[in-house]
Amino acid sequence: MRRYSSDWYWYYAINYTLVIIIIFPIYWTLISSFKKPSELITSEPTFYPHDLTLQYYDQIWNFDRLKRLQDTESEDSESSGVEIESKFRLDGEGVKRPFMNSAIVSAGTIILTIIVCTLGGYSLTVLNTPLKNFFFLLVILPILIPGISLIIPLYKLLKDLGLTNTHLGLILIHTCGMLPLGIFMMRNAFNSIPSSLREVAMLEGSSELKIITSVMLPLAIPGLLTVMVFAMYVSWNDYIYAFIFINSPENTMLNISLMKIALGGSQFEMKWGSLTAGSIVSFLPIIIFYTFLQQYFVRGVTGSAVKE
Amino acid sequence: MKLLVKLFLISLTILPFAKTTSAEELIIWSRGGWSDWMVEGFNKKMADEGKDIVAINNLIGHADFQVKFTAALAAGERVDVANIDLINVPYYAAIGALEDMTDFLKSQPYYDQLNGPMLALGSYDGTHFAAPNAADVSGYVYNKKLMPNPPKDWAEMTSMCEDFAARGQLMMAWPSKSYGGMIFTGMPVAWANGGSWVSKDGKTAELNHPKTVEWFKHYQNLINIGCVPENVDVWDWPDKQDGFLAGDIAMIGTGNFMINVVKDHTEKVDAGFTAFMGSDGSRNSAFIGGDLIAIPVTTGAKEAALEYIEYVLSEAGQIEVYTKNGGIPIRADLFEGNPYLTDDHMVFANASTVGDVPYTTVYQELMDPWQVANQRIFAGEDVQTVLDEQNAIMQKIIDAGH
Amino acid sequence: MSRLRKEQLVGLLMVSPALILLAVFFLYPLVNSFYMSFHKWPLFGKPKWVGLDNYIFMFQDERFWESLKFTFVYTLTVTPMLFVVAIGTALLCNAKAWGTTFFRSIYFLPVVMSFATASYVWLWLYSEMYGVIVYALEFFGFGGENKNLNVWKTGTSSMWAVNAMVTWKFSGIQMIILIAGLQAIRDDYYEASKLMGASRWQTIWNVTLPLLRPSIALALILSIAGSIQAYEQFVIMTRGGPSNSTKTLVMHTVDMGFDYFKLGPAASLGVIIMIILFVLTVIQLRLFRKNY
Repeated sequence: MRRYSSDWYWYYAINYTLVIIIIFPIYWTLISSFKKPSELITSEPTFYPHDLTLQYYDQIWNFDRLKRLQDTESEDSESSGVEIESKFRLDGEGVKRPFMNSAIVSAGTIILTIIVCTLGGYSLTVLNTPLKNFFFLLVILPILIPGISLIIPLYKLLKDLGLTNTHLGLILIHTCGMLPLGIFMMRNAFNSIPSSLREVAMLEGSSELKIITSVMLPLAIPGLLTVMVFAMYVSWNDYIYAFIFINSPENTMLNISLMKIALGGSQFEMKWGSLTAGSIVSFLPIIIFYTFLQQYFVRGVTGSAVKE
Repeated sequence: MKLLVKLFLISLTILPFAKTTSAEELIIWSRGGWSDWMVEGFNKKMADEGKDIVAINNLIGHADFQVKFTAALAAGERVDVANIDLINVPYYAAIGALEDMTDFLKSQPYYDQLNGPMLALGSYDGTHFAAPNAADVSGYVYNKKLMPNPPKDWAEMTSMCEDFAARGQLMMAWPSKSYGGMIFTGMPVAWANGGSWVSKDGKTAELNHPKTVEWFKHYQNLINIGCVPENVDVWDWPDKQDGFLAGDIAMIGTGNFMINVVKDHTEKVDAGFTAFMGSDGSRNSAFIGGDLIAIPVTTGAKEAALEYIEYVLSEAGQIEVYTKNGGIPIRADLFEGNPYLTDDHMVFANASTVGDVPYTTVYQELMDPWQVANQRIFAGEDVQTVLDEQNAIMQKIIDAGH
Repeated sequence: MSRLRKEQLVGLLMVSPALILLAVFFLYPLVNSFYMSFHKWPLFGKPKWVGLDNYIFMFQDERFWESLKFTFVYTLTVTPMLFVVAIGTALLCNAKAWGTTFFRSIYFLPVVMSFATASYVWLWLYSEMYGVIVYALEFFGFGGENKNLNVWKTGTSSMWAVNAMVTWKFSGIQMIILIAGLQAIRDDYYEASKLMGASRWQTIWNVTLPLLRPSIALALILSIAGSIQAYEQFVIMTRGGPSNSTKTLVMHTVDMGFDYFKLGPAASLGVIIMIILFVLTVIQLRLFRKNY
C-alpha cells in the first residue's frame, strides 16, 4: 500500500506517543526495582534512580531461605555430630529451581497446546467431522467459567489421578485452559486458507497428514505463533493453579516464589522493592520469547502462496 | 496421524508417580518465613534424639493460605501440621477439622503461661484444638522526628492534632478500606476504651457498644480537626504505611513486624512504639493476631505432629528460632531474660498480655459490615446510625451461623 | 471405506485429544461443581441434598445483585475501551513499515507482566500521596486546590481507574488476535479496493473490518468473558470498596466459598456465571457469524 508522506508523520507521531504512555508503568517498575528504600517511598517521585541498589535482586537470587531472615550467622547450627540428609537441609538453590519449574511447565504447555489445538482446529474446520459445531461450542466452554469455582472438584480429581504437586498436572490443566483460544485461533487460521489448495493436493493423491504439514501449516503460521505466545503467556503467568496444586518447596513455580518474597513479611507488609524486582525477573523470559518469535509474524507469507 | 494420536494417549496413561509420603515424614504447612528455621531446628533435634521423624516445610505464605487450605481439606489432602491464621480457627474447630489436643496442652508445664486469647480461639466447647504459635501484635508507631512523645490519652491526642493541623501537617492516618487493617489497629483502641466488637462467646454483635461509639467519634473528630487526610475513608494499608515511612505522617497503627521495616528508613524516621490507649489513658490494649498451630484430621501421624508442636512451643523453638527472627513469644514466661527482645519488642510483648482477639466462627463474613461501617463513618456519616445499622447486619450473619 | 467416511473418522480422531482433555479436566469437575450446587456441602462430613435451596439463597442475597450489577456495568465500560485501543494499534501495526515489529512488541509488553504485579504497581501509581499518575492528574487540575485527589473515593471513579489499568494491560492481547486476522487478509482485496478508488478509511470500513469478523468475534468473546470474571484487579486495587460498590461476581463467589465456607452456594454461583457467559457468547457468535 502506498502512503503519502504525511501518513508517515502521523504513523510515527501516534506510535511514539503511545509507546511512551504504555511503557511508562513498566519503566516505573524497572527503575523502582533499583531504588533504595528511602527513594522508593517518598513524596517527591524521581524519574530515574539517584542511588542504585541491587538489594531486591539479591533477595530474589538468594531466595535461599538460610540467608533471608537472619542478619547474623546462626551459631547454633552446629550439629551434635549427626549428619542430616541434604534433602532436609535448607540450602535451596535460590530462584533457579522455581524458574526451571515454570520453564518446564510452560514448555510442556506450549508443545501440548500446539499439537492438540492444531489437530482440533483442523478437524473442526477443514474436515467433515460429524458434530463439529457442537464440539466447537464444547471446546469454548472453559473460558466461560471462572477457574476458581472449579478448584475444589479439580483438586479432588488431581489427587485421585496422583497429579497433585506434579509438573504434568499443571501442564494438562493449562493446556485445557488454552483449548478455547487455541482451537478458535487455529480454526480462524485454517478457514482463511482457500479450500482449493486442499482439493488440489488431494487430487494429487497426498495423504491428510502430508497436506497438513506441507500446505496448511505453513499458511497458518501467524495463527500458530499466536497460539504459542498465548500458551506461554497463560502458563508462565498462571498463579491460581500453580498456587493451589503445588505443595512441596522443590516444585514451586516462579510466580509463587516471587509473590512470597514480596508479600511474605507479614500479613500487612507490601515490599514494593521486592515486588518490582520480582516482576522484572518474571517478565524478561517471556519478552525474550516473544521478541524472538516476532520475526516470524511476517505478512506476505499468506499472500504469496495464493498467487496463481 | 494415527501414530501421533496413539502416542498422545499412551503418554497420558503414563501418569507420573503419585507423591506418596513415607510414614515418618511430617508435612507442615506454614505461613511465616521463620518456619524454615523452626523445621530445621526440629529435624536436628529429632536426629539428635534418634527419632525417625523428619519434617518437611511447605511455606505457603500469608496471602491466600485460606483458599489453599480449604481446597486441600475439602479434597482430603494429607496435612500433618498447619499454621492457621487464628481468626479462622474457631470455624475449623467447630466443624471438626482439627485434632483434639487438650490432654497434650494441659500436660505442659507452661500451660497457664500461654497467651490467653490465642488459646481461647483455639478452643471450641471447652476442648483445645489448636495451640498458640506466632503472634502479630498491634500498637502505634510514631516518628520521633515529627512527634517527640506520643499522646498519653485522647485529650492529648486531640490537642496535638490541633497543633499539627495548624501547621498543615499530618499527624495520623488509618486504612479504612482495609478491614483487616482496621480490626488490627483500630478496634484495639476501642477495646482499650472498654468497647467491644462481639461478645466473648461470639454470639452477640456489639459493634454499637457505647464505648466503641466513643472511639469512632474520637477518630472522626480528628479528621474534622484536619490532622488526618480528608480521604482517609478510602485509604488502604500501603497508603498509610508509605506515608509514615516517607516521614509525612507522625503516627500510625501497626504491628510488631514494623520494628524490622523501619530499619531501612532511618533517614526520615526515628521510630518509637507504644500501645493503644483508651480515652483516659488508663488501659492499654492490642489486637493479638498471628497463627495458631493445629493438626488437621487428615493427618497420618498425630503423635509425630505433637512432637513438632512441642518443639515449637518449647524454649528452643520460641526463643532461638521465633523471637530471634523478630517474633513475640506466645508464652509469658519467656519474656524475662529473652536475649532477643529489645525494648521495642517489649512494648508489644506487654501489650500481648492485655490484648484481645474476637472469637467467632463467621469472622470473614463479619468483615463486610465492618468495612462498610469504617468507610461510611470516616467519610463523615453519623456514627450511631451507621453502627446501629451494621450491627444489625452483623447479628443477622452470626445468627445464620457457619 | 468411502472417502467421506474416512475423512469423518480422521476428523474425529484428530479432535479426540482435545475432547479427552476437555472431558477429564473440565467437564468432570464442572459436573461435580454442578452437583455440589444442589447440596449443602460442608468441608467435612456428608453432603446433604437441598435441591434449589442454594440458588434461592443466592438470589435472595442482596450482595449477589449488587455484584451482578457492578460486573455488568464494568464489562460495558471496559469492553469498548479495550477494543478501540486494540483495533487502533492493530491497524497501525499492520503497515509494512520500519518499526512495526518494534511497536508491536512494545504494545504487547503490558500483557506479559503478571496481573497481580500490574495491579499492585498501578495501585502505587494511583496512590494519593505518592502516585505519579495522581501527581500528573493534579498537575492538570483535577482534585481542586487542595490537591488531594483520590481515585478510590467513589465506586465510579474507582471503576474508571481500574478500567484504565485493564485497558493498558489487555489491549495487547486483543491487538495480537486482530493482527493475526489482519495478516490473513489477502492482498487481492486491498488491490481491488484501491482499483475502485476507495480512500483509506473506506477501505478499512468496508473491506478490512468485515473480513476481520472472526478475529473481532474472538477478541470480543475473550474480552467479555474476562470482564465478567474480573477478580484480581478489584481485590488488589479496591477490595470491593468503597462500601462494596466495586465487588464483582467472582469476588462474591470466592468470598462465599473460601471465606464464608459455603461451598454449595459458591458452586451455584459458579453455575450462574457460566450460564450468563454462555448466553452472552452464543449471542456474540450469532452476531458475528460468517458463512463458514
